[in-house]
Amino acid sequence: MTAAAPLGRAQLWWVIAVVSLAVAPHAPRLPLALPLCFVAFAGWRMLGAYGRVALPDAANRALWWLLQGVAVLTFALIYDHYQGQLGRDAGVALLTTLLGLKLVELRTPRDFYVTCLLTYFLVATNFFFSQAIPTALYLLGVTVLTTAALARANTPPGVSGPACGWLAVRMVAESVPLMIVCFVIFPRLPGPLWGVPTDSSQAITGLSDEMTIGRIARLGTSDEVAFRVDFDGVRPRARYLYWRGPVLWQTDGRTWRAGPQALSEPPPVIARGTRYRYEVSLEAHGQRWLPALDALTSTSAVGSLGRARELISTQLVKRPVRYTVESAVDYSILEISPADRAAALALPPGAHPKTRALAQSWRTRDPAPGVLIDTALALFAQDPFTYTLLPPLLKGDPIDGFLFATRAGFCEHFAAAFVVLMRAAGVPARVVTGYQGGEYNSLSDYFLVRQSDAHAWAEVYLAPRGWVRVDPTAAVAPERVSLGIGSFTERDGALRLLDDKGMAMALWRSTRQLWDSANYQWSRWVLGYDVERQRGLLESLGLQDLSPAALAAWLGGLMSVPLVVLALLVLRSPAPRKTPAGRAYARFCQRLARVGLVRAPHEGPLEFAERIALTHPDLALQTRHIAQLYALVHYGDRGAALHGLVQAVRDFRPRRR
Amino acid sequence: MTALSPATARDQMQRLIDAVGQVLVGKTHAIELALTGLVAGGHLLLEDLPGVGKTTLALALARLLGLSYQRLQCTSDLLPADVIGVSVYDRRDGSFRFHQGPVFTQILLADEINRATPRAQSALLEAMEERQVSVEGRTLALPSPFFVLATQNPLEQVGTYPLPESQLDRFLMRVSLGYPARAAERELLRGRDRRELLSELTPVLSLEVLQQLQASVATVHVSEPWLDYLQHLIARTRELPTLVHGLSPRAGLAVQSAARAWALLHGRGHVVPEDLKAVFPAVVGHRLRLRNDADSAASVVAALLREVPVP
Repeated sequence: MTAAAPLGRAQLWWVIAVVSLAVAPHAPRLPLALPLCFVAFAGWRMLGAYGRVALPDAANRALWWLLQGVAVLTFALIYDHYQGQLGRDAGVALLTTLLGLKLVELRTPRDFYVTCLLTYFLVATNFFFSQAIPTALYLLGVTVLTTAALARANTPPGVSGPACGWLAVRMVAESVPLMIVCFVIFPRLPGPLWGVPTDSSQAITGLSDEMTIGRIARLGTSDEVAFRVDFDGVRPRARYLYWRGPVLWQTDGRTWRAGPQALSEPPPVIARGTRYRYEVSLEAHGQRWLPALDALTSTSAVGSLGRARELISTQLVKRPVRYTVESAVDYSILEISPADRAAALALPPGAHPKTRALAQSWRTRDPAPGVLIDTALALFAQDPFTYTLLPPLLKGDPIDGFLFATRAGFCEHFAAAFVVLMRAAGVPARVVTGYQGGEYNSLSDYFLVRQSDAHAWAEVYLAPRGWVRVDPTAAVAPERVSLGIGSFTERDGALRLLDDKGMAMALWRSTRQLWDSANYQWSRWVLGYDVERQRGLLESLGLQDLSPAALAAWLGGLMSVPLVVLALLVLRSPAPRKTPAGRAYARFCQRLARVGLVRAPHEGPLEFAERIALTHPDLALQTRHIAQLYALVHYGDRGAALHGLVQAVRDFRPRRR
Repeated sequence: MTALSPATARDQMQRLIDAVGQVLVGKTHAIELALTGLVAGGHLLLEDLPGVGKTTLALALARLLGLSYQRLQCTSDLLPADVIGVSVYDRRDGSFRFHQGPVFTQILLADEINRATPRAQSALLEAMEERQVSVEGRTLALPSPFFVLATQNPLEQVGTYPLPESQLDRFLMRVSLGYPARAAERELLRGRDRRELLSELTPVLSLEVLQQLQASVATVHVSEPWLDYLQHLIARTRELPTLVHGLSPRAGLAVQSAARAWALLHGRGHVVPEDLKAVFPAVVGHRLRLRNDADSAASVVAALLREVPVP
């Protein structure tokens, strides 16, 4: 490569800007020293460009050695910080550092191109950490800017910056079809790339398999998405939207647990009326439970039924999952095994003395289970019981304290107290946790269930009717069930401001719905495009059972067809066949090129001959003669001169001096 | 009119160039371009600062060709009648008689054309295009040959009316004389008075020879590869992002006839790419509109010529 012109300041600004933009999202993930080093490297280069500081180069050996030292130090830092594990994080750290070092060394256009290409790669590495829509949009922007930087370096100086930007936008837009083909056809790997853990396995929120008083309140204020449900056709009415999660049988007086699963088959369900078919897109929560509408009438490949007909995943839900199941809201579960009956009546010995005494007194008055339930619900409906997401602390026995002292709490207090009352009165009962309600998104026709929709209710076993759902919270705060938790969080929290202004609230709601709808479609069609979806899509296109190798072949084929067509068009159009004179002249040029005299494509024959005559007077006579003969034949249509031309070229043997 | 052989044409034109070169020292390329324009039957726009020899060039050409010469000093109060002529009442005849304006001449030097109002400019430019003027319902033909040398100062001067693109298109070429080289300027400073020199000039070419030369232009052979080259260049101007618009077909014709005249000047019966390259900047420079004022037409044209390969 010839010595190229050094990089201009404008180009330096461009490349440093795009690299910095690509590094920026990584910065919080790296050990603090590395982003600082990167800024220092970029600053060094920029100050150097303005002549404020010296740059390390051949002329400045000391600085060059300093740079080597800094490089070794940063590598050591990376090795130390990541304990020598070369994985995703260490790899990104290394790449960022290398790019920073490269910035100091930016000298030739070649450095510029290499850095821009590495920037594309760095942009891609950001997807190891986040695949959300804002990330994708940001990285798309950086990609366009990087392309614009390349365009800037390759267009004549007259083209303005915005024009380069537009060119980049156009080029990126033109690559979209290819991107879609690659996305659809490129062989999918089952599971994440290189065992890279996904974002969602960290900082998981959601229901757990146990319930300790106070836990659901924390969920109640979390706006995070728990899952989304897309009903196939009709959807049930809001009051039936009880999403069954872990069913809790065992208690030690304070904490409720699911307890062991029975080995026998779950009790059968007798469904009446409409069966609702729906697809649940569950966010990762790190547990095993899978929410489903009460009561499930089908099962799914992703999980099996538990002893209370709850759906349990075969493995921990560490990545978002999607499954389709069927439910009926009008149903009966009649069977109860002796073991289940015993578990549904068990109370820890010695716990809740006051509650037991109250239940005993009810039982002696009227032992009919229906009456007992009504009595308990009537108790909750009485005045001193209030529903609040910020209950006072319970000291001593939590159930006794709640029923007889504080009398303020939320769903889990009421559900737990109710189940304890029922069990003490001899009615089999269990706590069911899950979610209640959901926000209907009319834009994309699905329900969004947030962590704040987490709920707990009770189920009691009544002799002829089987397991019956009783929601004691509904007795004290019916609007919790009919309006959803929003009516409470908003009253308590900061959203109250918006509550006063109906318009603002509606606007806020619809914006949120729009955003969630976009997220849903994104996770469904882009992030959720996995091996199965790909197979399904390709099968619908008539491509069954393709191996990854066959897919790669298809991909190569699809991409090469337009390329071949393009190549043929390009090859066919200009380049006319050479005339005899053209061939002779080409030979003449070839011989001159061999001795280092290359004709520029824009040089006419006479010009070229004059240039040679100037630098190589010994060749002047011959080259001028040949050039004139060629011009005569080629541009003057004097065929008679052809013979002379061919002869002259044959005799022309330039030698290297 | 019989055409001359290329060699004769070259000799004749060379004599004229040598003679002009006596008066206008060191400006061979500009003189060659001016003569090319004259032979190709076009008009010339000289864009330069005052005092670099525009008038000298016009006068020398007129005298050496034995042609009639008029000078029109354009000012903002110049009226179309001042250009074309005016009818004056003759008391003896009792009728109107038309007095011809300066446009009725063979070589017209329109000095500082951008100082004239658009109205006066268009009167002149229409005469240039049509080679005739219409006065009071009569059409009067202009003498032949009719060659306009218009000058203008660089545009950033106060009180000028820049020529619109449609008018600029009427000029075959735009030529700059530029400052003389050091040696040439020394010769100028040491030499005799220019006016004196000019007055001593005698015609070296007859009107008949000039008309023969003009007729010979059409006989210069244009080959297919050469036309390919011209078309590639024109096509490229239409896709360059630095230009507002590309070259018109009329510009293509202008390049072709100028290149033919240039080939003749160099004793060739056919055009070669070098002929095109020699006249291209002067012929298209004023027809291109740049998107960015910071660029110069000359640099864009030079880049264009470096970019398009010669077939």
